[in-house]
Amino acid sequence: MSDASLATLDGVTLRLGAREVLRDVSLSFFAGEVVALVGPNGAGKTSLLKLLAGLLPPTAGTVSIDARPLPTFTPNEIARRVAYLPQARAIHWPMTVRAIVALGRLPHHASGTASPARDAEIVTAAMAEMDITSFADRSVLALSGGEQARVLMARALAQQPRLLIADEPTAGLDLAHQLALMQTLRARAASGVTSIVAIHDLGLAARFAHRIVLLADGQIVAAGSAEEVLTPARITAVYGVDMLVTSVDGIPVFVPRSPTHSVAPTTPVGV
Amino acid sequence: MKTTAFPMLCWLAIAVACAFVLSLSVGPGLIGLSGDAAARVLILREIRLPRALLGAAVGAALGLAGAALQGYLRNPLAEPGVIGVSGGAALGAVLAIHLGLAATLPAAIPLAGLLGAALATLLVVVLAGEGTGPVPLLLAGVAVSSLTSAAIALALTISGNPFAAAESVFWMMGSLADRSLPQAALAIPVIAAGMAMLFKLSRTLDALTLGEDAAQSLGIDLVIARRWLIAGVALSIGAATAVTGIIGFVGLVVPHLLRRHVGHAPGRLLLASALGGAALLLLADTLLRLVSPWLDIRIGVLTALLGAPFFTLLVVRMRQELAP
Amino acid sequence: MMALFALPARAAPPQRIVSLNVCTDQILVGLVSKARIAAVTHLAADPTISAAPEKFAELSASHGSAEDVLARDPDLIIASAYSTPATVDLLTRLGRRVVVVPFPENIAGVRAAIMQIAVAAEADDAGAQLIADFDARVARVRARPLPSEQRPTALVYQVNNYVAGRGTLIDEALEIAGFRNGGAALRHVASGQTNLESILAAPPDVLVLATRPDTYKTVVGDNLRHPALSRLMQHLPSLVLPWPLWLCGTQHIATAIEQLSDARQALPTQSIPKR
Repeated sequence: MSDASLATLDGVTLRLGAREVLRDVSLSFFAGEVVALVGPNGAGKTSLLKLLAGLLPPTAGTVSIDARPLPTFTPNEIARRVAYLPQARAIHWPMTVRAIVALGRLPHHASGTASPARDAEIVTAAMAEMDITSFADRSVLALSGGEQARVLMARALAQQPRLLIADEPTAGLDLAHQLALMQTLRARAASGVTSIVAIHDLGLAARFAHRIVLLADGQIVAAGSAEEVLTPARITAVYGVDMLVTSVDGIPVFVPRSPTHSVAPTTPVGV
Repeated sequence: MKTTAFPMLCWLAIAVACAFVLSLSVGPGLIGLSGDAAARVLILREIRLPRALLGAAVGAALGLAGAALQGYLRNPLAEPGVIGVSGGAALGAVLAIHLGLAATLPAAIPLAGLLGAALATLLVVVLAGEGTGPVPLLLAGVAVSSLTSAAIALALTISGNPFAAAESVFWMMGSLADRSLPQAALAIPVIAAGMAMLFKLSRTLDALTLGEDAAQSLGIDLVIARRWLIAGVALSIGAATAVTGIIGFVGLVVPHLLRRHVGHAPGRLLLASALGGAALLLLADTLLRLVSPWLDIRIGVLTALLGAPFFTLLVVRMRQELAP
Repeated sequence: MMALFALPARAAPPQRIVSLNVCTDQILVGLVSKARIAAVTHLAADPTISAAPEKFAELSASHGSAEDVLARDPDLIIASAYSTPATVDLLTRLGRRVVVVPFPENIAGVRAAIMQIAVAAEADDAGAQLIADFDARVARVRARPLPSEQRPTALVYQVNNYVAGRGTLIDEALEIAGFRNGGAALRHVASGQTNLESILAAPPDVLVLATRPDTYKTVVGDNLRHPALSRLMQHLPSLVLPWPLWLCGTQHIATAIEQLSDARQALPTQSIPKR
């Protein structure tokens, strides 16, 4: 991890319609770290990711990559640095898995920095990383939801970004592939790639992220290591859930016990 | 199965070349040429050449614009007519003619056609709003299309022209019959310019396969892409419609027929659809002259007649694939 | 009761005549004084349709609907076989006197139409006079010696690629003027559409344009302005025979016959190929 920040949010506020989605958020991301963005629904996780990817302009404040404000980049310049994996998994035509993954090479085509042989190599590697090589030539719409999610992640990897932004990439994946995906992000981090992932599974976040950013009501509640951020008291305050935080063989474990407000179970949860 | 579209593109190009030659060699009810030497030269150069050139150019524009719109909207039912572009173009041309603009400036007809196409497209875009999905856009297109066809009928009726009905049929059903070289010379450069704009969208359309957010994150400027699309469709379809009227179905059916042969990639579909559209329109127009030299069957009627069975086949195949 | 069925004695011929067709308009105005005409069609004053538009300048024009016609309280309604059947039926059921005139397909039909309208309007003398004048004009043309024995072909060509075919009024007019109808080869029955290529492949000896090429600056007139036709006309005798003269079967067909005959007389003999 180097000290020079790769991406920065500086006093960023985002208003969508009448609603203030993010309020005065300042954050820095460094090369080679995996950052998990956690928080309840509506906390502003997706908006923060879209701001970083340049898909939304901030109402106030500055978003920078490599210490340059985003508006000074062309869309293609951003695309060669930042990959964004949306939460909604849209695939509109029944193209082959390989063709979809190859879409990740588009920014490099447009800038003329690609060769077909190298593209094919990168695409093959990305498919292997996401364990989708066996159905590389099948129509992507014939796959299951989890398989499609892996195809789309492979597309983002094929983009070879320095900053990988993924909105709930583990949702819908089976357990093995959830772990594999997080391990892939760690492996990429070792070669300097920064990943910022919105995630609901606090266990995965605590186990694989270098840093956790806890967001609630459009503001940063805490940022730092899992031990610092995900304390039972803070989880209760933010999520309204009484959480048992422990660890098994050094792996952090989060067990929700009961909601403390809002959502009351109709029958007592047995222990 | 590695899908390379190159062999198919070659076949399509050969088909266009053959259809072009065939179109030049077929006259009303006959293959070859009749008349004396002078008449043959006149017929070939002034009647059949502009017809074949326009058939190829207009067919290519229709196929390409259909493929581009289907890719952009991610809706396989889109075609220039569905979103009101060709109706707008026809209305523009009709108004230019009936307001006397065409008499002062020959280029007024294609210019007014593409202006009408642009205005109709903008109206549709404004009505539908951005990022609202295909249904509002198609509904807005239906609204604008009926508006333009009503306005065309109205303009022709109040013009007091005793041939208003015949003229309506021309604009609504299209025709390549007896178009002239000057008309072709006027329309084809504009069609080509619009098509060049649409070909630039190849990467954009591929990226849009993953939705607008992902496309943007792949470095696509969607605002600019939308402008290219609107300008490209307005220019190519506007100029085409201004000289041949509204020719339906080609823009809808050609991308459908070719999509699976390019691995469903919307970018690669562009060139294939342009070639396919040119071949289909040339062949349909040639067939028209052979089977009904004395009946004024409109090209739009024939393309729909030929297209319907293809579409039916597609539906049947789709049902078989969906069947449990 | 008998009084109801007894027709009132015709004290005076019809004084409030309404014509529902531009063709019958033109015959009627040649038969009765304008004071007796309650309404004609709006097309009667349209120079692109009517052969004598100036005669209708002061006449009232109806919209042709039953309601409009009834409001004029006509005592005679003259309709054409092409008039809207519903309007004719309604007016008849409402007790109005409606005379339906068939569309003349030949010279005999023109004479019959004139006579039918004259009888209905009780202008028999004027009818006889109009027919006599008409007959005399046609007879004069028939009596003109032709410059040569051959009958050159003439093609009557209209906007939207229409040509006049066999068994039409203009077909007979061409015959009387000394031509063969070139349209008969292109259209075996009646009139209809052809295409420029067929005309270029086998051009007639004379091209008769029904409209000046610059009249309809719209797509229907494109065929008359086509560069190929212009090239053909550079070495082909042609004339404009105004459509209103022969669109309807009226006394004006005599003018068309005279103009065609003048063109036939002016045709240089050597330009007609031996057939």
